[in-house]
Amino acid sequence: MRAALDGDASAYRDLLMALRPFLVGYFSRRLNAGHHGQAEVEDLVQMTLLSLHEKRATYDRSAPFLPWLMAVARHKLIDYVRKTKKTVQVELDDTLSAVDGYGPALARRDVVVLLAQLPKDQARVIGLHKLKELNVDEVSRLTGHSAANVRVMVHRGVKRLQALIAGGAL
Amino acid sequence: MTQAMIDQLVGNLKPVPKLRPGHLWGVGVLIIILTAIYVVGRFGVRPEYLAMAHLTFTGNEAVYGKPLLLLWAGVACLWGVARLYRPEGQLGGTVWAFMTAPVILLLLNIARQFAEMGVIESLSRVDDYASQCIITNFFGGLIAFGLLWVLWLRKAAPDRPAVFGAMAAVGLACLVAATYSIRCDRDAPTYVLVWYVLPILAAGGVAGLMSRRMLRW
Repeated sequence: MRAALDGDASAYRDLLMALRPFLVGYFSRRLNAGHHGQAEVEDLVQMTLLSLHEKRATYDRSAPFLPWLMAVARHKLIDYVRKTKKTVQVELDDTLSAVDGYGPALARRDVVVLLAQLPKDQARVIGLHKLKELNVDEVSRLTGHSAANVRVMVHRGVKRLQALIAGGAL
Repeated sequence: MTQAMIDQLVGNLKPVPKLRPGHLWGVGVLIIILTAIYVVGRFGVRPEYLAMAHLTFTGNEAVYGKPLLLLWAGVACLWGVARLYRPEGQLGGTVWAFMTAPVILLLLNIARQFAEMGVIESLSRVDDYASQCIITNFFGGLIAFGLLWVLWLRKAAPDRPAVFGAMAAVGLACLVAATYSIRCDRDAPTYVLVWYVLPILAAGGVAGLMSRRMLRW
C-alpha cells in the first residue's frame, strides 16, 4: 500500500489482487452467503476496493494496513446492510481471525510495522523470543543481554506494543 | 467485473499525499483570522480588550473566560475530528474528557448564576441584542464548515459521517463564537447558553444532516 501511495501501479495491482479473495471470504462469512449470495458478495468487494482507492489518502503509512482495510470493509458492509435491510452479525469490536484469511503472512506485515516503532534492540529481542520462539536463554546468548534483562525488555516491549495498538497504531 | 474494475483503478493510480490533520488545524486558524477581520471591521472590539493594550485588566473574569471557554470547546471538537477522520479512528477517553469539560464548566457557571441572583433575574439576562450573536454563531459556523469541507473534510473517511460532520461544525462554530466574543459584552452564563451554545448546536445539527450525504463514502 505504501508503494501504491507513491504511484507504483504494479504494487497496487498485486495488492488489489491479493485483497480480492480475502474480502470475498470476509463478506461471505458475514452475509452467510451461499452460492446464490455470491453476486452481492462480489458487489461488496467492488465497493470496498473502490472506497480503498478513493480514500487511500486516509491511510497512515506508519500504521499497519489491515486494520485500516478492515475498517473500510466493515463500513461498506454496514452501509450495504442498512440499505438492503438485511440482518447480519457485525461485532462492535469486529476482529480479524484465521478464518477470514488473517493468516501468518498477513499478520507478519503488521507485526513488522509495529516492531519498527520500538528501539531496534528491543524489537530484535521480541522478534527472537515471540516470533522465532527461542527461549530466554537462547535470546540472551544471541543478543548478549542477561536473561533477566531479556525478560524485562520483552515485558516492556509487549506493553508498549499493546499501548500502540490501543492508541490506534493498529 | 471485479478484474475489470481493478484494471481501471490501477490505470487511474496517481501518487496521493497523506491527508494530514495539520491542515485541519490550519483551516481552524484561518477561520479565526477571517472572523476576527469581520468582527473587528464591522463591530470593533469591546473596551476591556482595548484597555489590555495599556496593560489594564478588568476584574471580571467572564470577559476572558467566555472566549477561552469557547476556544477550548472548539479545539476539543476539532481534536475529536482529527481523531475520527480515518475509517478506524476512535475518539478516546482523553478527547472525550477534553470535550466534556467546557460543558461542565458552563453548567457550573449557570448554577452559580442561579444561586447568586435567582432564576428570574438570571433569565432576564437573556435579553436583547442577540440577533448578531445568533447570525454570527450559526451562519458563521456553517460558512466555516463549508470552507473546511472544501479544503479538507471531503477527503476524510469517517465511520460515522453525520457525527463527524456535526462535531466539525460545532468545533468551527465555537471558534467563530470565541472570536466574535471579543466584541460581545454580554457575559452572563445564561446569555452564553441561549445565544451562543444553542446556535452553535443548531449549526452542528444542520451540518450533521448535511454530512450524511456530503461525507458519505
